[in-house]
Amino acid sequence: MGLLRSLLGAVGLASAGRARTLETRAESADQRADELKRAIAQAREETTRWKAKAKELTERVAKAEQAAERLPKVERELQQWKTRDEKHVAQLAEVRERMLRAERAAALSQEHLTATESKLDVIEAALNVLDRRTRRPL
Amino acid sequence: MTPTLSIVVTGRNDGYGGDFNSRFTRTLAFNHDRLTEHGVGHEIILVEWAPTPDRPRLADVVVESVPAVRPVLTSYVVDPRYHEACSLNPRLAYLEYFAKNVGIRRARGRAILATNTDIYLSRGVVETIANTSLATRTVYRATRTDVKLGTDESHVDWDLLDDPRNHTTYKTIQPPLYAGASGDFILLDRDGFHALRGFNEVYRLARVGMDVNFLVKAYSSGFRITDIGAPVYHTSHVGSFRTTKHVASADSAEASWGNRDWPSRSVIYENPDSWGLRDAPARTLDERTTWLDFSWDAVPPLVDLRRIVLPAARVGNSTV
Repeated sequence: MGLLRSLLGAVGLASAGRARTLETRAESADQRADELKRAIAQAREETTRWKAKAKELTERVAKAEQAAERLPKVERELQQWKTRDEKHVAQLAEVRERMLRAERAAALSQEHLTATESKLDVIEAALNVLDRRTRRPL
Repeated sequence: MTPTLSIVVTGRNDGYGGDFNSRFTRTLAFNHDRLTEHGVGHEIILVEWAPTPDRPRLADVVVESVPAVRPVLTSYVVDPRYHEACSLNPRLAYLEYFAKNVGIRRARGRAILATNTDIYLSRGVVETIANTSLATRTVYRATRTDVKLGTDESHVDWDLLDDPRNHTTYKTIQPPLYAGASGDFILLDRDGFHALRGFNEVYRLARVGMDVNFLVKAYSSGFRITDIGAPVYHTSHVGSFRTTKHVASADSAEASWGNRDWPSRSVIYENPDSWGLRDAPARTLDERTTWLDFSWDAVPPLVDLRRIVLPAARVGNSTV
């Protein structure tokens, strides 16, 4: 068997069995090559996605860094707004208090006005009574 | 012996509201009988303010019609000149609350009920007075239910009065003042009435609103005001405020009620110590009748402005 293979090999031929075996191996190699091609393609796609992601993250990091750089300024502005707001709230409370005081004063004035009107009613009535009494004996 | 209750009413024999005497004697007899049945010791103080000279005195009419009230009836007849001297409104025909003050000042009961001559006490009111100890410095008020005009009142009993078919309207009363037809029922201990010095004698231009003005005064003075929990019944008649307030002519309205627009809930009073004609000379006419002679000493000044004051607000109610 070995001699035959050697002879065939010497003239550049192979046995049929050998040829089938080689053919099978060649097919396997082709399949493997296809698989590897697909894996490579997938890997490329994956790489592209990761690159995009990395780019996006880089941009976000850059933005975050920019924002972080602006943070102290924003904090200062926020503090200023807060201070201004507190001032407005205090002013509002003061205005409200002044309005309440004004309302009380107005109500009190109204009450005094009513009392004064009543007193005027009495004075006018008394004058009329006195007038009648004065006229009667004449 | 000190009576439990003094009922103070005022009127005169002038036919006010049509058939005044019958209305008055009917309610008086009814209330007297019910209080007697329930063992409530009482006196009835009738103040005849400026009586009509050519007619019998109202007290005599009452005793003749209802002899049973003779032992409990005391009458004060006020010289007509007091009306002219005290009134600040020449068109006002009757100083009702000034007159009531005359009776309140002289009442002896532990509690005094200032009411009107056309009011029936309900079962609940009489039972409350009979069975409970009334609180001091507490003004008791009652819802007023109007009995239909024209209802047969020849034989009045509580069943008739309680029957809703005989009612027309009723005045609900709400805190803090429980005002609403207040002149029909103001019950307060005698000392309380004296502490408040009765009804307003300073603003003498009106009759209407004097009752609620008293409630404002009481409230401002820290008195409690409460619903006694039972009604009184008002016998409707021609000329009552309820039936004629929208139709009376300006002159008759002024004569009956005086200035109706005065601020009775905003301005109160501080009567002088001599309120209720304290200094009027009294002359006994008979065992039940005292005549109050005219004297300028008893007449309060025409104007006493410091006695017109603002009510004090109370916790929980900025206004009344």
